[in-house]
Amino acid sequence: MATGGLKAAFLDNRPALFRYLGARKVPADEAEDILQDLFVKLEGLRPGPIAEPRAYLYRMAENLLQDRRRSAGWRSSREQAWVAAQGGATRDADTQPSAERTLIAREQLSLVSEALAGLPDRTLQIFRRYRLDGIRQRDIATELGISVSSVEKHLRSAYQVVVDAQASLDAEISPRLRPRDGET
Amino acid sequence: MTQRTPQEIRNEAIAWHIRLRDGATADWDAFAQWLERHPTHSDAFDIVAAADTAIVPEAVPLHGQATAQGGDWEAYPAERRRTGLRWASSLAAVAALVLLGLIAIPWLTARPDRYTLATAAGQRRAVDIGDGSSAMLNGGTRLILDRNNPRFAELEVGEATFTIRHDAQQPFTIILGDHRIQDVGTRFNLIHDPGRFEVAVIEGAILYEAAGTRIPLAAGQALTIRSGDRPLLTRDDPARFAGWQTGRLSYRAVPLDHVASDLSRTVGAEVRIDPDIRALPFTGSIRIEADHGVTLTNFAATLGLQARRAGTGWLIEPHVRAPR
Repeated sequence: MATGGLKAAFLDNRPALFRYLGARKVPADEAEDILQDLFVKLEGLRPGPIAEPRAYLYRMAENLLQDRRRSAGWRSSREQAWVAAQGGATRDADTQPSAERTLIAREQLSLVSEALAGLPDRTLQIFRRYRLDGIRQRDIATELGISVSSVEKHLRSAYQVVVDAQASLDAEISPRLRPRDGET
Repeated sequence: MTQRTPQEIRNEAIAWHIRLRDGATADWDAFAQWLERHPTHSDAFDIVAAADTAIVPEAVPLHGQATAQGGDWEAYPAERRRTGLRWASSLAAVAALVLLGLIAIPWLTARPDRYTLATAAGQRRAVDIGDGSSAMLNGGTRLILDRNNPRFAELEVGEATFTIRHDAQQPFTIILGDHRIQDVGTRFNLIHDPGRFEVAVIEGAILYEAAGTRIPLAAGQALTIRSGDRPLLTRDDPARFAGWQTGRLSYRAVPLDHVASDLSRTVGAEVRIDPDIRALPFTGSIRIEADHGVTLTNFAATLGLQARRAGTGWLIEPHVRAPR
């Protein structure tokens, strides 16, 4: 489908997308902004044939919404709490890693990694194919000669572990990671 | 509506997150309905989406529990299970075997057809392996070649980048202690230090082998094995590999003492890390300056540490500060 077709699909589906953003708890004015961004993005797109334009537009809206939540500090609340715990000193936002940020990232990485390591080999193999290699569930099922619903069960159990590991990190903000020697 | 626990709602959100990645229109419409059914659904979905962003290649271990739990899902093909077990048990022995490998080398090099090329710390050396293949050795490196077999090399210790001409009839093999690399026509960087093995594929593909396990690696992939740790399969921009050649070393969560080995080789002065902070992970990049004092001072400053001369080399340690 050409961009023109996708734009027409956007105009047809605009009310549904607006309603979707509402269900995702986006205030009406912000939802309008997101849809405006989405329309502008369609201008610059040169997509290949799109079998399901409506699904494609939903995905674009969801991605734009997640980008906003992230940049609005949705995710950085953890980092802010960390900075506050350090006595409120804000670091210069340069690209060099601070020891603390490195430690937090490492903590997050190792928590997720340790949690995943408790899963069966098979589950990890499927999770890798799906999440890191970007292979579709049905293709993984074909590859391994198992059913799609079985692939999905493996993926669910891997995601449960990841979500739980993250929740435990958010709950504690790791006091034991306090650096010995902050450069404030 | 029946009462569901937060756990159950979370599991529903996870199922949606998985279903939607390659979702069709019908999936999205059904998802929109699910969202509208209860206001907490959107929040649960946000938590799952945020957790998903923490999944980076190095967070996913190469192997988990070799014995399948939940075997009720699907029978586990017998051959794969065996491979997994072999791999797991072979890893336990890797650290010991690396040491054995180092001890065995003098015996191997006693063969008249084998000879060793070595570089001092800070030195570089281009090596023509003789069949259209070549290697660039970083400092502090020992490479063994075979006069009678141009398709063989052994990286005893150190770091080198190989450019190998592909020959399907006669694959090129590199031995690093217990690890073995077989090329499939390619350029790649290898590190072999006590307790540490790393291969990073810059172009083409290779086959990694250890004790019956074979892992194919393509450009952009790196495999790291440190004693006492799980093997890590990671992905990165190949331009960041072999950073010692471009003057910029890049790391993701690598213990400082490994970074110090790389620095020692590359700058040509022994770099040691204070034992208290030796295992701290470093993520970021280090620019190699002409003056190694500048390189080390800048690197230490980035981490809020200090670098000072100690004996013939350098020591990186925490600042000693007066109490405030």
